[in-house]
Amino acid sequence: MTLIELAQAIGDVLTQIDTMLQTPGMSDSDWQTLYALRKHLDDEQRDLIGKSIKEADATYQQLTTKLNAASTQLKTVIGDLTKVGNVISIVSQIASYADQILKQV
Amino acid sequence: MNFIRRRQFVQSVGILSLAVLISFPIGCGPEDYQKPLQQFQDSSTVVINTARAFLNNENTIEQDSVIDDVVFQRKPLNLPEIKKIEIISQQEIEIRTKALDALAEYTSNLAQLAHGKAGSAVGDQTKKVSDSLKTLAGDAKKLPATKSTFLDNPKFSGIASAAASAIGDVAQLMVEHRARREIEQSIESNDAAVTALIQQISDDATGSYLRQQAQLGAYGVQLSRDYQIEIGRESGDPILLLGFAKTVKDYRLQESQLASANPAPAIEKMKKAHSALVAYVKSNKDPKTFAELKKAVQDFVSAAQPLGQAVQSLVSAS
Repeated sequence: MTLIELAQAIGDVLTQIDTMLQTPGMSDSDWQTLYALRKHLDDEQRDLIGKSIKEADATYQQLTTKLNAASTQLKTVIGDLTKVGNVISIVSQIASYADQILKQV
Repeated sequence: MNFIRRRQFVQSVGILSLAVLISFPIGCGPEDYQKPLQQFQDSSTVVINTARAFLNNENTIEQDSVIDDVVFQRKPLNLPEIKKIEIISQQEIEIRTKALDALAEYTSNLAQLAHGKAGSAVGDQTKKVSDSLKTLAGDAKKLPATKSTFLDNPKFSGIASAAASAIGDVAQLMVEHRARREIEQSIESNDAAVTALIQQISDDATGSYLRQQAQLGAYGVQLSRDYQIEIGRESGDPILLLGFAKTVKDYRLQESQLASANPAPAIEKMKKAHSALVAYVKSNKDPKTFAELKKAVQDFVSAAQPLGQAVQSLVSAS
């Protein structure tokens, strides 16, 4: 996965989060937590674009695989207001993987 | 805020509407080969202008994002500080768009070669393309490390330099009037460096597009949240709520237009059409290879056309 593809994957996650944040019914504290995570991921996407990395690096590949898996998992719960806790947990994981990738570049 | 953003975007891409108007109706020449080649050049113009528009809009995107966030969080608005946010410099934009111009010129020269016009003029023009890319690579190398992390100038410089050398090798053979077979071989063997440059510019433009998408998404979230807060007030102002409805509709329109303006698929098709042209150059006007070129160019035209249409919609909606 190239860095621009990774930025695209994060963009897809941002789009999913936006859909959730635009859906009424979430508690205020959950909304604020998810919004803060959205801001963090947004910053990470901006920081990733234009960076260079060895795409064959094993750690990078492991992290992007985990990030993609989490992104897929997110799609199964994203619209469900009864699973906001899961959404926040998965988005936190995605942000953490992106953090780790940023430390590599 | 939304109107201001859209107006700025529209201004930065305004040139595209003209490109679209002149691009698609023309292209039919007396000979069969002229049409796909003209279409390739016209679609390249659309893609180049789209990439230029997104890169030009990049600073505005990030500045607007900060403004939206500050207003959303009811924090003090420090416009002089926001004005200092610079993700991409004018010189960085120029280098990248001039590189695309050079690539379009190189493709045009290949087209002339494909029809037996490998004379001195084409050789000289190709050498100029190589020289231009060499200069751009040098300029990119001299740029200070980016203030932000948005662009990797040393990487761009390396890729542009490799493309300049590759095109320079081809130009040299043309200028020396070497055997056609030798020139064709050189074009093919050097083409990886050329397509790598197209890919790099595609990545830069895609990055810019992704940031625009992220910023618009954040804006939609803030808009939706502010609306929820407003309807929760006992003294909600119905006129204000109607204003919200209009702003939400504008946001949705902008969202749909942006979805059609992603330059990445068109640049991917541009790469494929370029490769098909290289194959055609080497085929000695083989009809099967020409049919493949025509199809690749048609795919490119189909991918480029929505870009122009999306920008036209933005212009008419402004």
